Amino acid sequence: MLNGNHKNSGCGFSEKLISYLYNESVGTEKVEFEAHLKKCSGCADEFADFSGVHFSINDWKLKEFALLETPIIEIPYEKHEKPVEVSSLKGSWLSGLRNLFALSPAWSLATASLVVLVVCVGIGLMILNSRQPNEVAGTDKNQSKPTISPTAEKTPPQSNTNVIENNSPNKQPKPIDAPKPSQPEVAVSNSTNSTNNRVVKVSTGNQRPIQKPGNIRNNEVKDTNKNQKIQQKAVEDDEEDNTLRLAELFDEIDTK
Amino acid sequence: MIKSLTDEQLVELAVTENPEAFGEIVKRWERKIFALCFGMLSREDEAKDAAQETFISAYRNLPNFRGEAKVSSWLHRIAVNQCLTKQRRAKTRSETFLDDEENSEDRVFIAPLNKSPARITEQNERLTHVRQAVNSLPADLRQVIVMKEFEEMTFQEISETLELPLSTIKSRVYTALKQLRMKLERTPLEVV
Repeated sequence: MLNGNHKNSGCGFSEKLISYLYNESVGTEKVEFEAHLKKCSGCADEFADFSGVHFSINDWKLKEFALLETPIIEIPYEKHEKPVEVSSLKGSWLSGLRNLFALSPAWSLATASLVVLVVCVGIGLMILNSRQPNEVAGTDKNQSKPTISPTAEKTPPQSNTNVIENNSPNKQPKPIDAPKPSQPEVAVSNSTNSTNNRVVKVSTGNQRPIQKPGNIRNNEVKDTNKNQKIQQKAVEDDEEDNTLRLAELFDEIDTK
Repeated sequence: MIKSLTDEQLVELAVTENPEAFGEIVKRWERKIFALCFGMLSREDEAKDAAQETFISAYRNLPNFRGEAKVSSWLHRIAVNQCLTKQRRAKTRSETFLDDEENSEDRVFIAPLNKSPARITEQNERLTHVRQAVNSLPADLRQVIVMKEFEEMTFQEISETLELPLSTIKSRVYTALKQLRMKLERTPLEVV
């Protein structure tokens, strides 16, 4: 805004004074300033001074510049080369790729080989990643496969086995029969807490879990050892049963 | 057809198809640009050179014109820069146009027939004084006072051309007039 050591400082008509001086005041602004000019001596003095300066410059213009002819401007006309627009280069990714390959054959060869290399490395990594989890899963499967082992006998799986639990010592003992030839395996185990608790696991040959060939020999050796132990155990149990049976018979005879 | 086009359309035409379309822009603005250069430099030959260089520079830079500003603003800016460059060069050569008495004597004023030689001499001295006063103004003040007085532009047009607020333009004109009044107080302003 207008300021400085204005003669009419404070009246706030400086801007209107300038507009009025150059005949750019219109309507109420012009009327208002003319009314103010009659009252404010500061604005009146300044208006007179500025009018003198304006007249002097105008006089200089009329007496010197107005008489001068406009110079003949000579332009060396030549066809302009339109500058490359950045927006056209931005375009789509396809045009960008085209521009890249349009640079030189060396560039295109290098870029193509790089792309092929990256794709090959990517495929290789993907294959490696897909194999590793399978291998880990395979080992887990082998480990989780049920095998006949002493520990497995202690905690036999519930599936594919018929478990007969005999927790009560007063239960009727088994009749003394000859060992059944049809049953291929008879596993008998005693629980650690009670000697009376017996778990008899009977499994058929068909229900035997499938094993990998590498483990078959070890398992066979284990099986033979185990079978021998089981047979010994069974014989001992049969002897115990027979003695119990005989004792019971003798008790019955005595009572009778 | 060319005459009906706007300045911006002429620039586009000059860049793309017809370079001579720029000639229409020259026709439209050469007098005003010459007036600006004359007001800034106070010498006819220097003003002619500055105007010529302004249009040549504008033509060469036509492809760089982005249309963000008006063509008139763009031309005025180039012209002011040309004038300031010329003045700077003159200062480095220790040439002061206004103090050059030989040049001022060479100037030919067409005097009215009914005026005495003494009166003509007095008038010449007064004009030289005004020219000196205007030339001693700072560039930003000189620019607006020349655009107002020589080009007869309105405050609004000056504001748009220089891309400055209207109040700033009026303030600059006010300050310029006040400084000129102080410089011209020594010589009584004669109302002819």
